[in-house]
Amino acid sequence: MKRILSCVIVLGLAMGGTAHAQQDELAAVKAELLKQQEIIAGLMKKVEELEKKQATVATRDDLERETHSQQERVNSMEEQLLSKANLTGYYAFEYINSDSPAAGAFRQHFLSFFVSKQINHWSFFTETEFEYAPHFDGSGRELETAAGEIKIENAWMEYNHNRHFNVRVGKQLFPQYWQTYHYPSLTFSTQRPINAEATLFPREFVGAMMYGSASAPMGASEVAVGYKVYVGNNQVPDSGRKDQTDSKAVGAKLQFQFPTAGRLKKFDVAADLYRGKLSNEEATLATDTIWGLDAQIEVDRFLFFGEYARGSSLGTARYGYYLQPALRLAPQWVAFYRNERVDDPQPIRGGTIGTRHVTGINFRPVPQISFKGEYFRTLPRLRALSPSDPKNKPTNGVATSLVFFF
Amino acid sequence: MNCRLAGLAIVVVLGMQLAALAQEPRIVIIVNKANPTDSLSLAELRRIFMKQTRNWRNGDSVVPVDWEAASEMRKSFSKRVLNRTVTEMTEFWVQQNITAGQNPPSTQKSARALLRFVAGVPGAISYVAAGDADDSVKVVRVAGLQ
Repeated sequence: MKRILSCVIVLGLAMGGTAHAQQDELAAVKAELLKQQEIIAGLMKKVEELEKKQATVATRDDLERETHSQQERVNSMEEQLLSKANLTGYYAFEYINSDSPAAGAFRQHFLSFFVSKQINHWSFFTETEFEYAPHFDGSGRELETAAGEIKIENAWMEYNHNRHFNVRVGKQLFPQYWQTYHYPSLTFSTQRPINAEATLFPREFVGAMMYGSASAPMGASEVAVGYKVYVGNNQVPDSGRKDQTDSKAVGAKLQFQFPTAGRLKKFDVAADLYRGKLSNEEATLATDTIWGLDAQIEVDRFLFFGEYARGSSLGTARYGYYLQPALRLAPQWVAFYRNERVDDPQPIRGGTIGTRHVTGINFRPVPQISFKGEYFRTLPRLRALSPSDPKNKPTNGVATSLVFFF
Repeated sequence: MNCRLAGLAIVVVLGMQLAALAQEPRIVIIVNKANPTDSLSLAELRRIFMKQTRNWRNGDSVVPVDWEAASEMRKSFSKRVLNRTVTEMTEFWVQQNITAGQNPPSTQKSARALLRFVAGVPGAISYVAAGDADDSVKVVRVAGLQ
């Protein structure tokens, strides 16, 4: 009996040991399973991430294809736009005040629109200018009493054969430097030089001009010669429609562009000659002959512009000039000084005689926008002879403007 | 001592200049493969990008294409070829637009876009970094432009 009891106890103990071992094994298996499940979950997560990455790569390809497609559409639209006429223009708003009797005033000076188009060798260009906020109320008033001015300043077409030979016909600016580049977006000052305001060279003409240039290499730079030869109606009223004589005004310009290697950015000089008819108050014609010189130099931050012109008609001679040194203080800032002089005693041309000093500053946050401010002092030439005459009193003033090219 | 310092200063300045030059990308001029032009002078290239030359010798219209104004390539090309900053060139184009009705060259954002444009337009001319040019375009030699 004792033996049987002992066997039962031993068996019971053995079975109990086995049960504990099985539980441990089961727990270990469970733990291993959980571990494997975690690893599988991790692997699944990585697979998902990889799938997502693969999906992203595919999307990038799609996006790149889409980008190319969009770029082609943009190019196509650009081509369409380029096939249209080009519309640009500028707007200039001013304030001028001086110690002359005239009151200081804001001036809605210029609003100009340019339309241009090029087709192969052919170009067309026109400028319509609205000066001093023109207003025509349509109530039947005489045109002379209406405010402001609307003007076609340029309207020409040209054939560009090559750089040596081009022909332009229509209403166009005279090729003298200030006349060509007088636009507020291009000048440092608000006001024009007094010699450009006075009638030395005419401002525009209706006719034809032939122009071109040739050049030869000189080191890293080149020397160039340019020419302009023109024929047009004389300086008479309504010259866009008619002339008062078969004899036409003629002129020529010869330009030299010197080599500009190194620090010299520009060194251009030019000579002008013009001969035409001018009508006086009695509508009789007088021969007018003018010659002139101009120069533009740019060295590093220093700029210089100068012009001189001398003319004779109606038995009197006249001359005028300006000298304008300027300094680019920073890419957006330019300071300038200009000495101007004109001596034209002929009353039908305004009889302007005097000197003016202008000094100012020009700020261009971007090249298309200009803020200008200047101080000027005008000295009538006859002030020494009759200083008590109010007309001979020196005048001081300021002029400011904002110009926007679009 | 002063001589040594001066010599050191010169070496440093020269080194900085050389480093600056080394940073400038090497530019190559590219044209359409059908263009028979093999070489240009620096002055001819300047005239093309200032639109003063409008036709190739074979009569095709010249179509210069530029990089966008903010790109380093544009800044480098403007300084080395046009002898002007990008801002000064913008002023030049305002002037050209007003006095002659001319617009600046059209622009592209990348070398790839420029290559595609030049490869597709017979009279086109542009510039890319030397490593970016491929056989879809023709590289033109320009004396004086390294």
